[in-house]
Amino acid sequence: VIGTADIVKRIPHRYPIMVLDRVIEVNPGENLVGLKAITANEPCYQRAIGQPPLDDYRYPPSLLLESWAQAAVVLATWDEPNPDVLTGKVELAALAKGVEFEGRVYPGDLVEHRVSLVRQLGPTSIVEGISVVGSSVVLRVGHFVLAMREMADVLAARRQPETV
Amino acid sequence: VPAYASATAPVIELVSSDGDVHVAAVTIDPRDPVFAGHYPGFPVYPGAYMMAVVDHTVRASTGLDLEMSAMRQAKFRSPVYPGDRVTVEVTVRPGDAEWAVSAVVTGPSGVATDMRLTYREGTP
Repeated sequence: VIGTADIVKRIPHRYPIMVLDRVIEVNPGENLVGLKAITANEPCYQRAIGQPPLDDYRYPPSLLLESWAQAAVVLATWDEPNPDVLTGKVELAALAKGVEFEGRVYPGDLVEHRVSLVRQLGPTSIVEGISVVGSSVVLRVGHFVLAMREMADVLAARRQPETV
Repeated sequence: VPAYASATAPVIELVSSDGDVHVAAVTIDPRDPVFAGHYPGFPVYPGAYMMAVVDHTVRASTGLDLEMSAMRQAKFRSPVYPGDRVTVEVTVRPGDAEWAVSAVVTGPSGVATDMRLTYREGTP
């Protein structure tokens, strides 16, 4: 079992977007099972003073996918963990296909992410999988591509002058 | 439109609506707390937040209670940084059971993300 203190030694994400709590199973190069507990105290439920309460506390699909993707990053970088982007590399999502948000997730749910590594070609990893709550599938990810990029390249691209 | 939790609550300025096509502009707030964690020392806007910006645009521009049910495809082409001004163009096409949405987010260095999404009516 890989706890939170070990996860932060493997991926660069930190509060308030560190949305993976634990890894309970890993077969390096093959698959991984991760856990994310949803609580009503997540930053996404914060309301400004005077704002009316939320009408529904469903966990945002975008964060559910982010949470799954963080489990995918742990698997994809198992042999070369990348906890700090300033050391030279950054993992960026490149492509997602066939993502289905099948069920709503609420505070109190324990989400189990199941990730399989389909293929790894140098800095590019292709992963797929599902997320379940109890016996219900809440998320399906058909095809997800992660690209590990050199920070120097990312920064160079940023410095390019804008073209009109 | 009912209020649901979102990854982020950006200030979206609706620029235009023409039939199914809606355009919004968003300035990515450099003070967004997410940048402390994504990533320490190198703030870059998370793809999940980009999804949320598109989602806000779909709901705000149509005024409908729609809920994202699938992401058919999303390409993340170039990063978005704190302070960037992005344009979000969504095309929202109603269907029988679900709505088809295509979205293009354009930032200072060109297309940042394009997505094809499916929505369903969101009332639980």
